[in-house]
Order: sequence, then structure tokens, then C-alpha cells
Amino acid sequence: MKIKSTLPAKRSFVSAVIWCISYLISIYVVTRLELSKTTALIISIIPIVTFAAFVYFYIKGIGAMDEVKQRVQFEAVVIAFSLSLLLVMALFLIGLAIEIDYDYFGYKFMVLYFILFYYIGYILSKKKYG
Amino acid sequence: MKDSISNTIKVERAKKNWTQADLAVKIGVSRQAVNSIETGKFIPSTLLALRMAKVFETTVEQLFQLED
Repeated sequence: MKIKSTLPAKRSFVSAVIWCISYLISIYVVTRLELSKTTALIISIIPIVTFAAFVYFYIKGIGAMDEVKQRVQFEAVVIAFSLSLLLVMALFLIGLAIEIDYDYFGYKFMVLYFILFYYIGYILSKKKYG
Repeated sequence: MKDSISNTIKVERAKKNWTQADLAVKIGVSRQAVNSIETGKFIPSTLLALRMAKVFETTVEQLFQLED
């Protein structure tokens, strides 16, 4: 029996790195350089395209994993999604009652929280299945 | 009703003198996957259970049993 290739996993990792780099560069360029609105808009769309590519390769990568690894990924994503919804809901509800410091809970940090939630889910699920 | 499943993979491996890595290669999964299945942390799909039964030259029923 042939072992499944690790190439899809490598592709999804590389696409994640490309997305991260494009995201950071895009933030830097749009916030630090003086650009026309059109140029700024085009540059801010680039990470969306690279993220879409990452999602494509990630899904392909999951398809190439064995079933235990697939379960780990699915549980990690479910936990990350649930925690992300919880955070957004909590921020919205708390924001109705008191003023939230958006320097720490603005959109720019949401991505980091969501990635953190994925890794929390991944670690929990990985521990469960050894 | 939640049934738990026991298995005799470790016994069958010992009979063949295979390591978990050997079995993993034969059924096309990672060694970690074999470990998870062997220790009962993960219940394999029908396809994987059939592959295991085939490489051990036995039946799925002999490899996996419902626990009371």
C-alpha cells in the first residue's frame, strides 16, 4: 500500500506562509505609504486572493491525509470556529454594555485570535488521538 | 447507546513480527494513525479495517470486537 504523498501538506504550508507575508506587507504598505485609494484597495485585496489559495490547498491537503490526521484537522477547525464565534459574540455583547478597547480587539487582531484558536483546537485534538 | 470497540491489532502484529511503522506502510497510513487505532483512541473506517484484515489475513470481526 502506497503511503499518501506529503506534497499537498507542503503546498498548504507554503500557501499559508505566502498568505501571512502578503497580509503583513499589505498592512504595512496601505498604512505607511501614501497611495491613491484605488491602489490601496488593490493592495488590500492581494491577501484575500492568497488566503483563498491557502484555503484551496488546505482543503486539498486534508483530502490527502490519513483518516486520523483528517479527524485532528476537523476537530481543530470546529474548536477554532466555535471559539471565534464565541469571541465575536462576546465582543459584540460586551460592546453594547461598555466601550471596548479596539486597539486590542479590532479587526486587525481578530486574524491572530482565530489562528490562535486553531492551534488550541489542534493541540487539544492531537492530544486526544495521540 | 455508546459501544466501545476493542481490537487485536497488537496481537496480530506480534504474530507477524511487524512494528507499527511496518503496518502503517502496508495499509497506507501514518505510524501515529496505527498507534491511535491500536490503543482504541480512534475507530477506523470500514475501508481501513478491511485493509488491516487483508494484510493480517484475517477478518474484520476477528480484529475488532464490540465490548459489552
